Amino acid sequence: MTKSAQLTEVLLDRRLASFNRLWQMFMESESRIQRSGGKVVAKWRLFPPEIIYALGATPYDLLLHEGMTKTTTKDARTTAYAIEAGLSADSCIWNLTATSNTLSKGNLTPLNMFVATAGQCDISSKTWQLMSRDMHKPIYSMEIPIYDAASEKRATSFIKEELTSLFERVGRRFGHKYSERNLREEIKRGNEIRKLLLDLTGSLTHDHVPMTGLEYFLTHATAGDYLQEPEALTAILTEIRNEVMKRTEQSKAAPGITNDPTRLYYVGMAPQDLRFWNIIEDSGGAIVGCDTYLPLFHSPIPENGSLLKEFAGWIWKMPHHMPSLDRAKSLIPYIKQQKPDAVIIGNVIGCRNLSSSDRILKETFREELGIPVTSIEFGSSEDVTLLEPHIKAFIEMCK
Amino acid sequence: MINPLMKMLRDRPESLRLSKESGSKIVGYFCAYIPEELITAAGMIPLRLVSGTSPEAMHAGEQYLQSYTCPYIRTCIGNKATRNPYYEMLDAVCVACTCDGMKKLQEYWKKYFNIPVFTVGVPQTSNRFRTRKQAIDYFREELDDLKKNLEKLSGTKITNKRLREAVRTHNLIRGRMRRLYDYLKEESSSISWRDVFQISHAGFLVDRPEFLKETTRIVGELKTPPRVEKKTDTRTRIMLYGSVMALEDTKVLDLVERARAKIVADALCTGSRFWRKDVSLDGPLMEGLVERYLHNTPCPNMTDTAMRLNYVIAGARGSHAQGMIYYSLKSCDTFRSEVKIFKEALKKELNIPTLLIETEYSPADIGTTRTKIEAFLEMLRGV
Repeated sequence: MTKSAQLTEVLLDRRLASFNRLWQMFMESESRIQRSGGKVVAKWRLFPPEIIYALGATPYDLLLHEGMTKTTTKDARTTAYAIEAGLSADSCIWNLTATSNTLSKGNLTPLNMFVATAGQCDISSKTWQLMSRDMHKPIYSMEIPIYDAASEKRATSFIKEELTSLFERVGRRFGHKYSERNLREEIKRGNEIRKLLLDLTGSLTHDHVPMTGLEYFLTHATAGDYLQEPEALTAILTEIRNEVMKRTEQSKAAPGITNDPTRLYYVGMAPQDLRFWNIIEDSGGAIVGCDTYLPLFHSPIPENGSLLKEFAGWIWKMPHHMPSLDRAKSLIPYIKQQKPDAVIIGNVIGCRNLSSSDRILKETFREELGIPVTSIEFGSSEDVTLLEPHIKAFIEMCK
Repeated sequence: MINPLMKMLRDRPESLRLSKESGSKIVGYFCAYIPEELITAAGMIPLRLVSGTSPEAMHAGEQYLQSYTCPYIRTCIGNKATRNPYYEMLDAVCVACTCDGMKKLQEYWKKYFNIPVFTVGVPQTSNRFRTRKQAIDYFREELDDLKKNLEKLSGTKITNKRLREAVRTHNLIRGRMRRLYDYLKEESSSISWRDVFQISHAGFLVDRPEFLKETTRIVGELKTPPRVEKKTDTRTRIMLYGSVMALEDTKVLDLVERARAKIVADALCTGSRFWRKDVSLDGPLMEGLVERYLHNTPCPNMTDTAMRLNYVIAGARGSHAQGMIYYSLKSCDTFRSEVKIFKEALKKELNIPTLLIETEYSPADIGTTRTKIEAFLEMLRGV
């Protein structure tokens, strides 16, 4: 592994040649959309990108591109603009950073519109409104009702109407007429990426884990908006998959992963600081799965039948949207499949949504998986390396 | 004037115990989006659970939720865990799934506390986009389910007649409460905001027909001019807006009063917003409930900021408030994130300043809160 050119302390797997192209593409996201000249829509991280592509626009995952601390220097972590706009300093740090970075660019931002997801994460919905107001850019809110198995019929019907309304209204604004054919094409394209990511996840079930946590996480995270160029991303992911498969065939683990590592499944919010993933391997562990972006890629979106209805049903069943207990139970098959020795639950201080599920997740995983589970918390001012003793001790205990 | 009602409030745990012994069922609910008319119509006793907010209950809630969760939500779990008398008597709870906190609250109640939990999904975009028929249809079906669940629990069918009667009672109560809020606007009001705040909380807990009688009496007394001429009240007039304010959560109120100011209006969901807008008795009653509860002045969890803002500006204008205190419970993102919008709008429309107070149920920040409030009031007075 070598040091990244952009971040002196994050170690990338440079032997995974195709991943380096992905990393480069990721680092150039903003300049790429600035050059694109098309309509750019800021989306929440788990908003299905198909919807925006079907409107002839380009999705931009704001939390990923503006919230991750890879975004150049320490100054990028400033939260001043977000606090000035009205957010509390103790809000979710992902939202604070992304909002601050976005607002700091003022008119230079290439964003044309905000699409908020109401009903899934209050602070994201609110920050989207704040940014829209401050930057004089339009906002559209699409709502997802609460998950409750008893209300499936009306909830999916509600989402279907929300989708129809979004396509009509935003389409009108963008001068783009929605067609089911377009959406079907976009869903197919997204499903190709889903399949590649499922293959990568499958590769982590091997004893010799062929991919490090950082690379695995980033392949999923960056696919959240297909990196604005679905074809290019598909090509890169195909190469990554081929390289990873080759390692698997040769029973080679990724560099940096020890022999017989503690296999860890990661659940929850990810830290902004990418060094966290290095710490796992430095401590004798290996990531064998991660649910942070799983809701977007957990299963293919149905391509046939009544498209909007099926899509609505798929959205409603995205695991992160479920109440904690249902979410935990829906995750268990995915976790089991990866044969982990233990589970790490990641919480972000200030997150009132996913991180508030901690106790229920922990208890359910312990009861149903019978393996050790620990929780870690990331804050705004903490150095992620401070978590190292906790992770080391946990991994040691698992051995 | 309010002493008899306050006695009823103090005695309420005991009177509830007796009601329960005689076979009545008690249904608690969280969040103002639950139509308590349905509970009344099912022949059960509704309790809106916004009391018992102590540091102890809040910390007890941290056994379940992180310390960076809204203190009110933590308390709503902590009170059950610490066997608060109101919570111990509940036969079921209804939770409106509005903000993230409410959604988590119902999850923890369902998993750890062995009583039925009826959840109601509330569309957040409903006010702004009233043309979104799907929101109305969805909420209507959620209320239909709640109705069925309450009927099953009580063994009483909610007939049209019963529901009409319940709506009428609750409309009358809302009307009385609005009258009380109107009195606060007077320059030398005979009733204080503290009184109205306590009456409002009594209205969440005491027997509703008794409450109606008492509020009718109080309104009647306020109509009668006092024998002694009132002194001109020169205290600084403050409007209060923000997060849910519990019965015991009087930190801000106490500090305002000690600093020789008075609250003359509020836009709280435990205050005037709760009593705004009646349920229409014309047309189908369930549709009336949908219209009233979905389209009342919204909580900031809803996307329609403009409607909230208009209500606050109208309240501040009508009460001749000289400043506004924007009260935000720590970790209440939905309120906190709108502070700048309100601050700017109040300055622009009415030229009045806004003070943000961010706090929780703990005396730890009383010193800093006092300093902030005193400095704000001095600024208003031009000292």
